[in-house]
Amino acid sequence: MMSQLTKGQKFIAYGSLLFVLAWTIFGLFAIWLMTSEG
Amino acid sequence: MKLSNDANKVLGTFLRQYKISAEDVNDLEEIVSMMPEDRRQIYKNVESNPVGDLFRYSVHIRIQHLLTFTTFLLLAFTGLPIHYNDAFWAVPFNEVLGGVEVTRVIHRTLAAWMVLSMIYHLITVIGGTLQKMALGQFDIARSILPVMKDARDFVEDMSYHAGRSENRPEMDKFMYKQKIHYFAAAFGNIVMVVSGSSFIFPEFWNSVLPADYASHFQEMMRLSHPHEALLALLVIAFWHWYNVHLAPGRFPMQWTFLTGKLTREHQIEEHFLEYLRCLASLPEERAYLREMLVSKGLVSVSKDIDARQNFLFDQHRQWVKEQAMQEAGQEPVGEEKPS
Repeated sequence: MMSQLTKGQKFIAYGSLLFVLAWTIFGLFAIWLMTSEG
Repeated sequence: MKLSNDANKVLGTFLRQYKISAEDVNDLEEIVSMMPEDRRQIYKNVESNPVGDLFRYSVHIRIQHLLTFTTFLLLAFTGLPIHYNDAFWAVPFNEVLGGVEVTRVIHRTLAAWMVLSMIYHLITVIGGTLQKMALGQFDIARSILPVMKDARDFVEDMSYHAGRSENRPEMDKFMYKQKIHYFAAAFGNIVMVVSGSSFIFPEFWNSVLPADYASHFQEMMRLSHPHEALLALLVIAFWHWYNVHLAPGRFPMQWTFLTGKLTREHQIEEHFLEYLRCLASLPEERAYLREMLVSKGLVSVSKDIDARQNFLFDQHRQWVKEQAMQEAGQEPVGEEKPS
């Protein structure tokens, strides 16, 4: 059983999650660049 | 709980290497005998602080991870507009920084920081290993080095994920997945450093390589640098970040990279052998687990039988006795060792 995160901890955890998801979009963009290179 | 052969081996080595006292071993034996055979009963019922309960990574490893991921992300971010410097989106990006030459300088400065982080890591792991060897506390099973058990763990874990077995394998401090990831990252870093250095120091590589291969090498490096970067980006985004952010039990984020600690639940599920070491060395963890097992009615019903089957504790008590007698300058009494 996991105890609850505090507000500050939630901010860090979800902030980091948003950051990595944004970077994943960047990864997809990088794939597009590489594959459209010809 | 009847300890498996792997658990016996790991725990036996740890008890001797860290000279765990006979009193602590008595306590450990009791708590092991109280543990239910089904490990899911334990990790699904323990209390865990999401920020971490049990120590795992030193501050050095955390700093190295921080240096590696910040430089890696910024290197990827500056590397793309260098590689595609004439693309519509790269031109304004490079102009903001002062031109592609400036982006290149930033990229190379970040690369130097990444190399420094690698050197720092090598010093830490080699120095730490030598220190443990000198103290007689090195155990290859606890290290990141691959061992045959990892292949067995992989097969057993796949079997668990396919629904063919009830429990995950008893894995050590570093499981097979982490070892693959670590060595893939090490390989990727070497490729990036070698290929990157061939752009900055082509004369050096021309002087050390046979003349017939030098130009092929340069071409190969020009191809491998962006493609290895893309591979790394994909591995980080779709594998590593899944494992530390999105995987069940980790969402929304695993805190180990900041706190150096792992949750109790995670430790028992994926690193049970390391958890046994924690039980051996932390009286407060034994006290917690005892209280939890009793309060939730999870104490193993086959307690007496199991306790007698875990011979390693008797062996260790005998070993402690012999050590004490040797230190006192007496010959050990020829007591029959339990087989």
